[in-house]
Amino acid sequence: MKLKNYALVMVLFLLNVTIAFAQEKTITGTVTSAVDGLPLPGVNVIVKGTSRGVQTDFDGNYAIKASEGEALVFSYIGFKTQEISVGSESNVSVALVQDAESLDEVVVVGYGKTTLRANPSAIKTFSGEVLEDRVNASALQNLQGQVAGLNVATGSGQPGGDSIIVLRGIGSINGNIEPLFIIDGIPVDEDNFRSINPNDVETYAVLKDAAATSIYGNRGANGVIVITTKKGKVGEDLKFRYTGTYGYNELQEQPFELMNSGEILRFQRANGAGLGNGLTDAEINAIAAQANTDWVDVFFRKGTSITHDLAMTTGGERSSNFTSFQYFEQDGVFIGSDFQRFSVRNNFNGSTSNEKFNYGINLNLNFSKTNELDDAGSNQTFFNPFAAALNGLPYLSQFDPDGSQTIDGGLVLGDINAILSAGATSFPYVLLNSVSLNKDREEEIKILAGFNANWNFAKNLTLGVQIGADLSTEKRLELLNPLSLLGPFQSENQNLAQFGGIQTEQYTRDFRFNSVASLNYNNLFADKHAVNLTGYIEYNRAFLDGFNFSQVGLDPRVLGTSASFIPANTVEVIGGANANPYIPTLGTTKFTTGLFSVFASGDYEYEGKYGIGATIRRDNSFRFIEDNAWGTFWSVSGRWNIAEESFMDNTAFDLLKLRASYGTSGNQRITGGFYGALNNTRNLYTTGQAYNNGNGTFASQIANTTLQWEEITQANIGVDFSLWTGKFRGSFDVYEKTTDNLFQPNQISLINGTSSISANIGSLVNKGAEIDLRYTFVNDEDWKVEVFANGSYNQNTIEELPPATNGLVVTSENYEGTGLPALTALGEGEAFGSYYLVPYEGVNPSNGNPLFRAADGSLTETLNEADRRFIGKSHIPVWQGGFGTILRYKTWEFNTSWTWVADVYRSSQDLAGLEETGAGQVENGRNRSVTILNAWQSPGDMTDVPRINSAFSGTDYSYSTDRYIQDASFLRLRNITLAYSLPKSFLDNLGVIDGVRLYVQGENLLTFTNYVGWDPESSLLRDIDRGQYPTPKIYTFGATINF
Amino acid sequence: MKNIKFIFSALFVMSMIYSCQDATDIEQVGELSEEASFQTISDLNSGLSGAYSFYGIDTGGNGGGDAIFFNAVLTDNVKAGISNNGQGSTTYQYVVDISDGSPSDYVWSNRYSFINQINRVLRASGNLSFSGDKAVEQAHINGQLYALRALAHLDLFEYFTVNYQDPQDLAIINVDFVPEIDEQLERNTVAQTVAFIRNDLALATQNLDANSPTTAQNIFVNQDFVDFLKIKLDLITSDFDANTMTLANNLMTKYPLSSTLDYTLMWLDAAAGESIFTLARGQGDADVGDLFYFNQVVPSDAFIEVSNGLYNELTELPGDVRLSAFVEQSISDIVGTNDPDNRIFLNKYPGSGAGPQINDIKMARSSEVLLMIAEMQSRNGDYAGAQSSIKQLRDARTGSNTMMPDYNNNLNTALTDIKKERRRELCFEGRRLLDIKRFDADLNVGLQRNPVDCTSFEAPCNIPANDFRYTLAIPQRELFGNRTITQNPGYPTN
Repeated sequence: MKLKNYALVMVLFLLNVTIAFAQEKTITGTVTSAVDGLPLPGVNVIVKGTSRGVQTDFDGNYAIKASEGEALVFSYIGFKTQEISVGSESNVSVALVQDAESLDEVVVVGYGKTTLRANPSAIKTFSGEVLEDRVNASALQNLQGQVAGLNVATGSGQPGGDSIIVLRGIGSINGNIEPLFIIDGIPVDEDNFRSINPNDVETYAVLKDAAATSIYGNRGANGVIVITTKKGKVGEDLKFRYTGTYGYNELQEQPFELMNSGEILRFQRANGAGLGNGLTDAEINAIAAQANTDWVDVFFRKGTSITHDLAMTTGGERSSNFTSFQYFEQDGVFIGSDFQRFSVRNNFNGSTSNEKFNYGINLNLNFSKTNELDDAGSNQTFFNPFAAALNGLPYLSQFDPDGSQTIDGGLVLGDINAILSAGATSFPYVLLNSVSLNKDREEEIKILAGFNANWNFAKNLTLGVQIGADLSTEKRLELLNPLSLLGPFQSENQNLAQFGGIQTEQYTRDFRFNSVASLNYNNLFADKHAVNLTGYIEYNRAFLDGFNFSQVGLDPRVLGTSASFIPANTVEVIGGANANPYIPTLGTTKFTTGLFSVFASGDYEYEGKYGIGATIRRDNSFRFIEDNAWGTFWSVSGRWNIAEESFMDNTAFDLLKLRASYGTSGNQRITGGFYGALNNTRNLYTTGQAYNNGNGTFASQIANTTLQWEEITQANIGVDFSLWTGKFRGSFDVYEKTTDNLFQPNQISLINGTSSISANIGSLVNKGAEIDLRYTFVNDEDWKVEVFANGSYNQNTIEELPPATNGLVVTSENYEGTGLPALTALGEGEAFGSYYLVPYEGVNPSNGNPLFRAADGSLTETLNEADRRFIGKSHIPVWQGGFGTILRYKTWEFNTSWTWVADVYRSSQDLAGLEETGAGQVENGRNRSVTILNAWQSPGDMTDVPRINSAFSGTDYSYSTDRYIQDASFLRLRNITLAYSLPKSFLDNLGVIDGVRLYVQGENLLTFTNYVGWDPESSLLRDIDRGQYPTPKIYTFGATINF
Repeated sequence: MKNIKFIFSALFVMSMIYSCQDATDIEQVGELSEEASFQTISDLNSGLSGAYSFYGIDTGGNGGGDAIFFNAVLTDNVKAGISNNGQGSTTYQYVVDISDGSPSDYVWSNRYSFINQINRVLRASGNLSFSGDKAVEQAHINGQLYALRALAHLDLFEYFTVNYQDPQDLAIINVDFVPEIDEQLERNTVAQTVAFIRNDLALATQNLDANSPTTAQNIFVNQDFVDFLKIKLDLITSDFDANTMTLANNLMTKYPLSSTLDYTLMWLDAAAGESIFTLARGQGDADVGDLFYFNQVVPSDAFIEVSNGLYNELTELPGDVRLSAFVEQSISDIVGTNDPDNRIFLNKYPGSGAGPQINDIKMARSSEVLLMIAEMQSRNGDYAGAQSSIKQLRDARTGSNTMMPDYNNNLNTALTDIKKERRRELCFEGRRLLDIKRFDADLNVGLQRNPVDCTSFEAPCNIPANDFRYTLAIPQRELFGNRTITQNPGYPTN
């Protein structure tokens, strides 16, 4: 019944055309697409069970020799494979039905290729088409909710903002937790996807288990995401695809109930402080009538986004080409933030006439420019614009006396009193002023270049070469205008210096080079035993260099270049003494990394039913020495294609595959960063400014000579299935993933001059299950109705911490120098990111003071650090997933895609600030939420808000207690699309145009959550939300024209 | 096909020939090994400069800090400032814990880092030998390092030892070596630590070069500072004698008390004044003003202010220059005696040419020597001498003839007056907590805050005499890394 895998692999891989013989006739025919009736060139036509095969020509025609009784197999990427028995006829024409997830579609999964049927490992692949034309600047943001077990968390609404990607739970405490990203064979930096055009992506492959990731050795610990970009097709005419979109974005609905001018003034009056104190009702009404500013409206806006995307594909007899250009721009919803990108890609593939030698070149050039807002999440009053939008007092007018929008609120430059007075009430003006006058811009040039070739130089033997480079250069400019309100305070001498302002520039160049040489042996013995062996040598180097300067003291008349820099040797008399207020700071860096590896993989398949695979890799990382210089990683895997068994012949199963894998991988990025832990095996000294402004020499690092990689051992059992010719398909996986040799600080006596030295100690485990389902109710010319869903459960447990810690590591967040512990702690038996806080138990009805649960279980009104405990909540979600619907009627399409996370918690400092009732804080220059009108007032009041002027501040509650720990679970309509394609009949009249698709789509239009904060979606690593950039709603109208 | 073969083979070979070493034996640009660090006298000087810069008595900010900060906040010298929103309140409430960022952690970690740096430079110096002038210079560097090591151990001794005078009591870990990372040591006894410090002071004396150009500058350690430390050690261990007194009198001769004008200029870093040893602080160094202010003294955003209690004492003597030198007169607002609305802004560290919050740290001044003389005189029963020493100081500070105090031949009266004078003279210099602790042995009064001050933080006004919290705790980070060490009484042991 089923196609022999191996044969297909042989044909596609080696493109072998073998001459057949004996009692054959020539069969001819045309292969067309069932959807539009157009001929399909390049379709593989093979005689089942043999290696005889041909491809269709430009017009979809083919001719092949076959005998009666044999079967012809027609396969083509993106279409369902069809099998037709050869009877007496000599003309066999077929119409192939489109299928996005064909079982035998060959997908690139890193070093090799596989099909869903043959693959023994936990890999989820899907077509980039699904995500095409979404308006997120970063391709990775689109992955959210698409793959079971893959968490994509973007903690910022900044267009192009970086996402934290985590696959199957947090696998490291201090090391890298993000997967390895490979684009067309080139390992790339996971952090600047904003420069990559998402529409260039052909397929995504998410490699999850050891069988798939172990071959990446010391880089594979957190999974691998392999991205393959589009290619042209051999024998294809020049085709254009243009997409243009226009849209706008806006702030999502906010859960806060802010006071208006009248309310806050009456609140101040009632509590005897602030502007409202002592005012009559009439006076309050007069102020409220003059100004009732919604600072959210002042700081947020409706932004626009525009895309122009042109892709061209063409193919000759021996070559194919794909070229794309894209221009993308998007305004942030917060004033002053935007993003622009220009990208070009060219993918060329060619081969010799006998197709034994193939090569390809991928060249991708990108330029992006980001204007962003610094210091989101900062607790510095004058630097967090999001806090100003939320907390600005409504009775401050947003207008200048002449009625225009103010950018300084009438504050006089250099007047520190005005800025600081009344609890720094004026801070929204300062922020508004900074956003208007100051710059924070990043410009990035990213070049990805790859060359690959393979040569089938002898029977069954293929040599391969892959060379790739990833170059990212980033230039960052921060310009604080001397004429901005903060300008005069930038010198060490503050506003005593004549010139203010500061210009900081930073330039970095990150170049990563990779080459892989391979030798593959591939054979089929006795029609039953398929063997595939490959050996590899890989070489990786990477170089980061950069320089930066920061100039204090700018002449405002010539801002922008060094013409404005006040010379460093300028002497001013300040406080009676000579001073040099304008000394710039300079810096330069250079880092190098390297990895040399030898590895091999082998697969054996018996009759297409049973397969085993194994990989082994030896990695020599520059980070480790002596016994640990070389790390060995291995995996074994097996599959049983139950559906191929004869006893399954008459069942509905097209595919039922049981697979299991076990193996190891490593995490050499033990401190997280790609350029981290560069020389931890050596004792080092450094020099720097020391006593009396002289130069000093100090010890900077104590060597750890036994340093090694973190080691991940993963077991995975999974099932892939497909029923009723693909109507219902999916997969199910369970896994256990243990990280040993965690790189953690081990406490040492402070007589060493430091309290800890990091070493490989401790372990954690992620256990989980993943499910991925898709059901197609109907898929014919008129209708397509499909639903899909995926979900995952991951339980993270820290098993072992360094012995000195007694199983508990409380780190200091040191909020405002208080030395307070962080909100979360590490505890043996607890999940990573578990909150470690004092339980808040409400308000004492007799006196309005807050009540806390003491360690001994009693209620107390004192907040003792010793009463902290694990409260069983973490900021890493346990459950997550996505689902969606695909609906097509004739040429109308209506699709939705939802994502959700559950069992995830965060502390909302934003709400805590709005509910500030602490002593002396009535006049703190901040607006309030109306919820504090419920504050306790007299004995017997039952309320959840403590009395005004009680002992603890909002910061105390949000950093030390669980009062503001909120359930941040959410369900979000991530994308909704309505599209209409002009009917073929209509287009035929137009001649040149092959297709026109018009669509409207929305991102993040609906969110269901109980979280009270800017946005329930946040960075995975964030335990507290304080003035962060919320992700926007985006509406887009787009048109795609094929011609 | 031939050319393909050739090209491909060339490519293949190319990708194979990168040698393994090239990718794996990588040293980063600018790595500095210990051997390369110290080779010349100038390198040793650079190590010494590093050592000086480690000493962090003035570090901290935003509600936490080393000795200058917590000697204020754990005592009666401060109240909550106008811009306070919690900075220092927990410490002021006398929560003296062992956590990261606590006073105990600040001192313990800083002084041992300082000691570690000193020992590293001494170890490097021990491996180098020079001759002639260079040998003298090397010895002078070593001498300064020994003196600094004595200073560090003396600081630790004062904060972490319960009873300075009980030879068998636990003191601190004496470290004159670069430890191995797995070393876990118990504290030495008082007798051992005192002997250790004395030995370092003796080594300093042996090595210091009186003719070195740095000797004449009070920003470097010289023999006079070594003598100062010796007097202090003698006094607190009650081991002083005629020699101690001679050393002290010599210092008084060499460093006469400043005039009121010089005194004012000294706090502006515009005159050396009576300073024996001052830590130089320049642009880019720790801003001592940050311990009390967010940004600046005038206009003020103080989160810590001078207490009414101290203010009252500073106003006792008519014309006391310390009132104007320590309290910012132009913006302080004295509504009335002990009025809760009084705003009393500290001006001891108003900033200097190096920057608004940056001031040199005066480590040893002759006024303190004179106060130590007075105390020794009292303890020796020479009350007349003590009375005239204190008068001498008061005369200098007021620029006029003050009344001779009368101690009635009573040690208690004498010590009470000396303690008060120390408070006025040495406030905000990292002495007050140590004074409260040390004078308790005789006076038994503990900490007594002015009620209007302690209510500013809703904190306890009185802490009983001999409270365990006057001696700091072995910090948690040390307990975690050192399973052998014994905690001080009253504190958690893990």
